[in-house]
Amino acid sequence: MQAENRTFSAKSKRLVCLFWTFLKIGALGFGGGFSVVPLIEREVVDEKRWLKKEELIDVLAVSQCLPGGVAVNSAGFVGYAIGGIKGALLAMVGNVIIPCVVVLSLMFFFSLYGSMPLIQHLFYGVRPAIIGLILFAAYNMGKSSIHGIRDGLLCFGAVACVLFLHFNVIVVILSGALIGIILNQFTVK
Amino acid sequence: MDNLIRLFMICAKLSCFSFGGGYVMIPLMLGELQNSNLYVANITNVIAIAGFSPGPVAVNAAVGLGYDVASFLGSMAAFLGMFLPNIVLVIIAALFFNKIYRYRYVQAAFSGLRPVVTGIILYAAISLSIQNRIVDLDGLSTITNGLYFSLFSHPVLEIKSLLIVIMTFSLLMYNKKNMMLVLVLGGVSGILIF
Repeated sequence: MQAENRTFSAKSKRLVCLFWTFLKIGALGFGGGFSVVPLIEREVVDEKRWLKKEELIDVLAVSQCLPGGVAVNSAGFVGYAIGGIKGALLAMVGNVIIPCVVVLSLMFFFSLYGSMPLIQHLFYGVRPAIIGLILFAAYNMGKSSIHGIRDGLLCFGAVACVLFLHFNVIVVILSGALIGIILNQFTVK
Repeated sequence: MDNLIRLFMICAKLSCFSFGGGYVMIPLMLGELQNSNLYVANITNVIAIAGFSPGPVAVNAAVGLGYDVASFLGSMAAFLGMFLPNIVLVIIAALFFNKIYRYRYVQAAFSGLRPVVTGIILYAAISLSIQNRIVDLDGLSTITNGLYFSLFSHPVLEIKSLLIVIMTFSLLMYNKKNMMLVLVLGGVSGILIF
């Protein structure tokens, strides 16, 4: 009975720790996506030792395969590895609570003071900075995902399809997957 | 109530197709909003706030968008729409973790998906530049105090914003950990040069 109690409390302690860790990662993870990876690595691999580094790389690869942010998805996978479905829920919810509160407060602040010239000029500066951030994300992603002419054509083909031909983005993304499968059929056989 | 349900449905749909994460979400979201009859007052500011806040850009953008359309309840509806499918998908995938990932067709699909997603992220940057009037295509409105490069006496490209884009990109190339710093620097330069 006592042993059972002890394992129970150890388990719930681990879940609380899990929640707290991802709460922290969520609050500190600026920029989203792969910029949060070093932070996750430090917490999950180096400090808590929940996963080995290779396991985390697998988690990130699978997280990337799913729709949604890499950071939230990998939070879910790490949580699942530590505490099953409950763990996945706790880690993912923990990951988004603080960002949600921050966004809500900023939106509220903006609805009050958004028409002030100072705030407007601030936004004139932040918007291009975010475009720079996105370009950097594209550059990083391209570095690891574009090898050779075929990938380059796919990448710029996608840009052309949505920008000039006004194709639906979802359709373009799904055709990318289909083209990958078709090309694979030719190259393997 | 109608608006809340519509917000929830739009975000749930986006959530299921946002391969490649938050930045892919931006053009998806802009496209969906054009087709819906929701009134969004400040979409470019919503995206700026979403990028400026910590955490996942997709969820942040949903919360901001929801708030813009229907205040607090709207942000809850959009958040749930964006987040619930995400949770369900991750848990299902976690159950089959290795099987899914090592399956040959999945790997093949991703070899095509990744370059395309890179392209969509590029497109996100381009469509935001148009949306923010940094690249001007129709001449309907311009950034106040903007310094436009003109072609055949049509304003085309806003130079000050372009400088901030270049500054941000180069700073990140130099040190990619300073996301917060580059955003603050962008904001400060905005106050100084506009």
